[in-house]
Amino acid sequence: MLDKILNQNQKKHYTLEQNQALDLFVLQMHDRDCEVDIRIDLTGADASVNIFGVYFASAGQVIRNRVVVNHNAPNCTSNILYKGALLGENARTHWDGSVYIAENAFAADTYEANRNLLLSQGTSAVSVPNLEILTGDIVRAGHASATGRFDDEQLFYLMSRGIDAKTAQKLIVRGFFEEVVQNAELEDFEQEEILKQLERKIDAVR
Amino acid sequence: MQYDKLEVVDLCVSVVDNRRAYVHAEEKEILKGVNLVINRDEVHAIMGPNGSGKSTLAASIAGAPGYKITSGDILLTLDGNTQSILDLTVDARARAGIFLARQTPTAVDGITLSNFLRTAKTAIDGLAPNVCTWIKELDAAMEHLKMDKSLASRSLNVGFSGGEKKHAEILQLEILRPKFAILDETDSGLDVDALKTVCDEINRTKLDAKFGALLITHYTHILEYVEPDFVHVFADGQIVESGGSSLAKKLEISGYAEYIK
Repeated sequence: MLDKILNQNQKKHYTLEQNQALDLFVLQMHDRDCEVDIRIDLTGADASVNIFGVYFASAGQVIRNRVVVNHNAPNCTSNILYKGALLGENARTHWDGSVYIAENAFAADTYEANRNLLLSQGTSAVSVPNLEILTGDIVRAGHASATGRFDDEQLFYLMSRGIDAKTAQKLIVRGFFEEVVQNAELEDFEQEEILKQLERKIDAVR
Repeated sequence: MQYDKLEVVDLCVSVVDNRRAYVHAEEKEILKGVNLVINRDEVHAIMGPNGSGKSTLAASIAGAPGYKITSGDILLTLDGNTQSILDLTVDARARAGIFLARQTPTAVDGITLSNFLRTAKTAIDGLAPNVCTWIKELDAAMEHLKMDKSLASRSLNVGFSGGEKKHAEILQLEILRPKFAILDETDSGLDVDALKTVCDEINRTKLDAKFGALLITHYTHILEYVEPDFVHVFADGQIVESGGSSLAKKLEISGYAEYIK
C-alpha cells in the first residue's frame, strides 16, 4: 500500500494487519503553515511501514510533524526518515516521533531519524525522537536526530569551481534531500516536481 | 596570454576562529608579507615546514572562508588588464581562471561527480558543454587518470579514498582548464605509481591550457615529475628564499632547519 500526504494539514490513523506493508510519503513544501499528525498501529505479525517526510519552512512559516508508531505484534518493521530545511527569519519546524514496542512485539526492527538543515540565521528546529521498548527481544531499535548549519566548506568548494552562490546552495540542498526523495516510492516526475518546488523556495529569497 | 600573471603583493593574512567568534573573535596572523609573481605557463613550487602558512596562501588566493586579508593585495592580469581579486567572490575568481586543489577536498552528499563537473564546466565556460562530446571528454580524462569510471556517478568525494579524492581534483583541473592552478599538497597520500599518473595528467593539461602553477609540497618527489621554474622556501608566513629547481635538491638534503628561528 502506498499513500501520500501532499502539502495539506492532515491527521491520519492506519492499522496494519498481518503481513501488510505501508509506504507513506509526507510533503510539506508549500508556503502555508502545515501540521501533519500520523499514527500507525502495527497490530498483525510481520507488518511493516516506511515513512518518508520532506519539509521546507520559509520565513515566518511553521511546520509541525507528529508520528507515532505502535509495534503491537511480533516481527514488525518500521522505518522513519524525515528531512527538513529552514530558511529565513522565524522559519520554525517541530518534529516529534515516537515508537512504542509492546511486550509481545518481539523481534521488532525500528529506526527513526529526523535531520534538519538550517540555511540561515533566525530559524528554529525542534526535534524530539522517542523510543520506548517493553520487550527484551529486539532485532534493531534506533533513533537519531541531527540539526546542522549549512556547511560553508561545501559552499566554498562548489563556488571555487565557478558555480554561483545560489546555484551552489540549491545543489547542496537538493543533495541533502536526495536520500529521502529517492528512498520514497515516488515516480520520477514526482521526484523532479519536489526538487523543483525546493528550488522555488530557495529562489524566493532575495 | 604571455603577459598574464598572478601577483601576490605584501600579503598579510590572519585566520579567524569562527567557532569562537561569538565569544571574542580570535585572530592569528599567519602570512606576514608575501610577495610572489606567477606568470602564465610557469611552475612555482613552495616548500616549507608544517604550519608555515603555505596552505593559508593557497586558500587566500581562492577566497576560502575563515581568512582575513589585513593588508596587501592579490592582482590578476589577463590580456593586459590588471585587477585586484580581493573584491571578487569565490565563484568570480574561479571564472576568472583561478583553480585551487585543496589538501582535503570536501565531500558533498547527493551531487554526483559528473553532475558537479558539468555544472562547473557550464559556469566557467558560460555555456553548457556539447552533449555529444562531453561524455567522451569526461571518459578520456578519467582514463588518463586511471580512475574507476563508476566514481563519476557517485556523490562528490563521499566515501572516496584519499587517493581517489586527489585524482578527482586533477580531473577537475583537466576539465576546467584554469589559467592559474594552485595545487596544495596534491602529492600527499598518493603512492608512487599514482603520483606519476597524476603528474603526467598535470603536465598534459598544462601543455594545453598553459596555466601558471603553484605547487605546495613537503617533498621533492613531485618536483621530479612536474619540473618547477622556481622554488620558494616558506617559513613563518614569508618567503625566505627563492631559487631554481636546484634549491629543492638542496632542501632535500639539508631540510628546513636553517630557516626556522
